[in-house]
Amino acid sequence: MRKTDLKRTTTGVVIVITCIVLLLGAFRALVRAPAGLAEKEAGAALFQETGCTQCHYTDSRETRIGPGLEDLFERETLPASGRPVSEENVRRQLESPYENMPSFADELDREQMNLIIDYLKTL
Amino acid sequence: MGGALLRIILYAAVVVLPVAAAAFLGESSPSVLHEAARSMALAGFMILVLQVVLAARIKWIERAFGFDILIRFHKHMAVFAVLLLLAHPLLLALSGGGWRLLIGLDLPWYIYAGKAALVLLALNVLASLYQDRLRLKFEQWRSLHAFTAPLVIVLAFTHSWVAGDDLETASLRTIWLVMLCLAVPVFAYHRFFRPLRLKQRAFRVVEVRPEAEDVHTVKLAPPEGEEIPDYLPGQFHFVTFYRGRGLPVEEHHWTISSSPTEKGFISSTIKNLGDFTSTIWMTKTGDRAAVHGAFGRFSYALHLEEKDLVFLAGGIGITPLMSMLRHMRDTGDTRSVLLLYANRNEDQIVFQKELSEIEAGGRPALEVVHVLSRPGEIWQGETGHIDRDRILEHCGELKGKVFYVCGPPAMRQSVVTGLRELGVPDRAVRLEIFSFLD
Repeated sequence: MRKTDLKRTTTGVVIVITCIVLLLGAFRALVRAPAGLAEKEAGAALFQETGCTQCHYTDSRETRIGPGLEDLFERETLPASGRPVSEENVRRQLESPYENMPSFADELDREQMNLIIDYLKTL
Repeated sequence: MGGALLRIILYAAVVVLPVAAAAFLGESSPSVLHEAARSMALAGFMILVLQVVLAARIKWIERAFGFDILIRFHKHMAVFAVLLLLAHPLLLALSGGGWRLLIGLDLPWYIYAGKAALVLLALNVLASLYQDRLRLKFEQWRSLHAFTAPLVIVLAFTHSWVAGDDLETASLRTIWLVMLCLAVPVFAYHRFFRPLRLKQRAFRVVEVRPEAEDVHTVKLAPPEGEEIPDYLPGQFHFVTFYRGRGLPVEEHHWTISSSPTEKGFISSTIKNLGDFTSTIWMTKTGDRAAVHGAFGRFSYALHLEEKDLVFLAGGIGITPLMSMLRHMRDTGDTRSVLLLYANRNEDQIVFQKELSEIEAGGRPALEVVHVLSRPGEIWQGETGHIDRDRILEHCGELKGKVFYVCGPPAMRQSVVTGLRELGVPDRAVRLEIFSFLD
């Protein structure tokens, strides 16, 4: 390969990589993110339909009947059980709740619980 | 060219692999700027890790391009990586992260790790691009590069591992770990284990012969029971002399001036051009030298179908061409070679006697024209420089001829410009770009 070929090759590689990087970034923002937003909306709807909003605020940490859930996934521990905040422990709380919260093990399947957990992450 | 294209496609595919994985598997945000920022960081990191591989003198990669071209590609990609990685925080700040990310002081340690990686990388690239202006000696630059380059990768890895949202997915974590597991051993092998292995199997200096003013040929023989690695006439190798007596131990690359047809030894012909080469004359028979090679694609043996060659040499740039002429002589090659050889004066002409002997031998059909810029009074040959008119005068018809150019940068540039003016296509001009830093 000659030096002139090197210039052409380098320019080509830089252009191809830049284009792919920008296209994939745009794909992620414009195609995948709206889908993600739809999932968030579905999670919010399910959260409401299941009746969670009757006991929990989603825009505050104040207690309604149960603790407010704003910033839940930015906290170190879950407000009632004191267990570390993790998807697994939230799922555990939904299936075998600590204290007075009812169990949702029969009402929600695993996929629905995941939708609610994903929604809680956005609060 | 097919092999080169395959390697280039493979390179680009590896660089964009994590971007594709994150685009399909990672979490998404609706901001194009935010996603562009993340994607650029992913690609920039991959380029950084692949820099280690490009520079490690891996034969499978090198033989498709030549080491001089490969190391220039490495340099260009470093600049590209800096641009991508500089764009990363700027776009993050613009996409809602705020300028605090760039100028704030109360930031987590892993953000500082990323900033440190970026600053070190930029300094490293500037030192490489402007080594001459900064008056950095090659060895100083090399030590700085060898120290800061792995530090940049470690800091960038740490930053992305802790701060990067994308690195929360198993696929991205796997890619990151695989790349680190690739870079660390390649770097360690290139910098430590291979030099150690080559030192243990060091060649012996069997002759140091003065060739011309400030020029010596050093002949090296392999250790007992070992063969000289295969090489093509015109290639170069890396040599580290172990001479004791307080003489410096540094690795340098020199063209191989011997021909692979000459058995039992390999030689380099070295001119006093700097601190290290000024000590070459002190090398003695019995001294040891670690030899790593051979590299490069500046060889007529890769283009045996070309039968009408013009060699344009300046000063010590004769060495790869001499290797080729010796090879043609020893193999009884009948192709036509015109050698225009420029020097300052008679004392600086290297291999003068042997060139005359090859010319007289008729194989190859060699015509040697010496051109001196400051000849002595008794010189009856040509004076001046190798320029467009002189090339035209001696070559006559240029069509079908292939030009091999090797010499100091100014001579090389002037000759290449002259050939272009004469309408010689770039594909008919082969260059040896011997300095990796210009």
